[in-house]
Amino acid sequence: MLRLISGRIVTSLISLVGASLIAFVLLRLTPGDPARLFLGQFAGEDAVQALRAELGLNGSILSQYWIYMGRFLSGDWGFSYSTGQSVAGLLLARFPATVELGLFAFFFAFVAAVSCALVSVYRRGPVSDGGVRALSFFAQGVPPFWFGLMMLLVFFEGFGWLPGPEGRLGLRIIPPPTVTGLLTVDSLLAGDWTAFKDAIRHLILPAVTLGLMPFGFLYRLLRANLEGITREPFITVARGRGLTRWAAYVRHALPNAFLPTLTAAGLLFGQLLAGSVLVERVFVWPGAGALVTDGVLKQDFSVVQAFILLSAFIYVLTSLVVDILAAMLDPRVAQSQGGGR
Amino acid sequence: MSSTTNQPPLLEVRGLTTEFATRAGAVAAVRDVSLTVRRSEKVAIVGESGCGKSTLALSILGLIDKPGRIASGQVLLEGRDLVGLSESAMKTIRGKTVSLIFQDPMGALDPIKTVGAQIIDTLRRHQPGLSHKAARARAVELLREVEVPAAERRLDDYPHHYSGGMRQRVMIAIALANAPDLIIADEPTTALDVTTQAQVLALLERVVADHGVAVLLITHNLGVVAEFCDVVQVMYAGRIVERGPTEAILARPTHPYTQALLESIPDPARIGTRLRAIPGMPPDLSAMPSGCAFEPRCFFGHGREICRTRQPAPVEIETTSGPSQVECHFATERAARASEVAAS
Repeated sequence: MLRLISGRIVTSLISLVGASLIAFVLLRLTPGDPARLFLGQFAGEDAVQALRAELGLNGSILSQYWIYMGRFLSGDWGFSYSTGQSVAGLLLARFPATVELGLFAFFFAFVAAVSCALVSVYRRGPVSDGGVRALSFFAQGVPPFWFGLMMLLVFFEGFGWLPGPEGRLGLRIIPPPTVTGLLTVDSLLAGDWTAFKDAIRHLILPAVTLGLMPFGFLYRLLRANLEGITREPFITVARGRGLTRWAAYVRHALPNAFLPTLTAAGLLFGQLLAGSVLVERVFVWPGAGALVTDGVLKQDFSVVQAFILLSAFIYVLTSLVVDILAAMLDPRVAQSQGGGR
Repeated sequence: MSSTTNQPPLLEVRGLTTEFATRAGAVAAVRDVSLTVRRSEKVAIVGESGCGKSTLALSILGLIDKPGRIASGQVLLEGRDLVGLSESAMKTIRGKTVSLIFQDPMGALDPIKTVGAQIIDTLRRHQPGLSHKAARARAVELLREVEVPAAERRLDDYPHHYSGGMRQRVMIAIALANAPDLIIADEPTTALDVTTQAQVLALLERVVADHGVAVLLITHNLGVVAEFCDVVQVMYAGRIVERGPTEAILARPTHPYTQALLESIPDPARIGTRLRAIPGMPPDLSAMPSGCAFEPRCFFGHGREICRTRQPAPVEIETTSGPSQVECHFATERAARASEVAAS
């Protein structure tokens, strides 16, 4: 197991270096001159050239990469010339909001997918199975920004049950002191129940909206796996040992069906972080999405670059966790990877 | 039969019919089957693949799921009808009074749980008072009883660390765990190589004798039947076509199907003669012949008017080792001829 984990960490590091290199080179190859953008179209050629030299834009791409990574690792993520602030400060203020939303969306998608898959495979009736399947098609096909607006219309405008598009907390709620940047965690750490409840209430609609597509995807994957596993002899044998059909499904079919889903779930989580831009717009969520789209449009290299690196890091970290989880859940993986018993 | 004749039957199946819903309508895989297993009795059900043996086994345990269902009949366990009992009622019977040994040892254990966990779970489910530690000790004992070497260490291994024969031993240990009255063994040795088959069978024979458990053995292997069972039921296309004491049936089969089945096994006494295969295929269960189901393949009755048009009723035959029952229009005639041949 230890060998497996250390091996995975090495490959993770390699993927990180690769991702950063590709992102760096691609961004530098896009047309447009940041120095020209920064100084405006009326600046003289001399001034632009001087700034290019100052920014290090005249060196080779590799040497630029080298300098950038060195600074990045020491905590200097550069300077955003479109906003005039340090990139680290900008991203660290906004990235946790995106991560928190992503986590809740993923949690919703996962719990909903597991329970729906279990129910539709357990009750093979046309109503429950067909109904949930139709729902999953809807979930995968519906545009999230439209669905988000509908949710707001129903639950905010219509019933007034949940808060409207006002970000992460109500106006009158004092944010808890920042520890992790995740409001739910920070408010719990501070023992602030009011802030915690408010943060949760603000998370529900955007999380459901963002989690809808992954829910549909996970549900269909899990349902197909479960369907197959419930026909395996060991399910019949488990019932023959004295488990009810439900117990055999939950205790033996589900963990086995879950294994092939795990990798897909990890990738989905990564996508949730990168794909939440539209949902963040609808719910006025102060996440990193808007910051990055602006950065792309304004060729604000350092913002985009840092966001890509941060995303790559989370992506790689998720796959690492998924691989370790899979090895813990499935003894055959651990053995085939040379981890022993 | 044996000396157990006077005891009340442990298991009595009466007129059991199991159907599967298909697009073409309901198809019966088990048709009007009745059978009795007495305490400590070893009963075999033999027949070729697809004749309904396994469906019968699963029907007895109430393990038939949609689209299948028990259409009619009773499964009486010590007089109590199991048909229609809820899952929560059945779970106290399955694994406790009646255990199951499944045909495919490769797939019969959950691959991601240790062998020990699965044995311990079986024990504690039916003995709620048993501590984890005591259950573990008992599991080691059980593995020792089924002759798994280094039982204590192997308890924490996963099924893929076990060979096929070892897994089938584990299955036997699980079946024995809660001292059942009846073990239903569905092709317990089929997937194993011949030497392992013999070992597993010898083991099954020993533990069954030690514990006085009754066995309903489902197999297509008549050699296993001869060695192991008191009573044989021959199944064809969902019905039991011949039943009786093992010696009588194997020595002098009355039903043409039983005879054909026996003649299709290699026998050292008949070296040099060609093995006889049964021509044709078992009938399509959704389009059963109106007469005897075996008529199209029968060397004896093929083409005869009565065989084609009428379903034969069971006929009682006296044999030297007890009464047997045969579903054949010509049962009496064939039995008489067989005893003449034997006498001459």
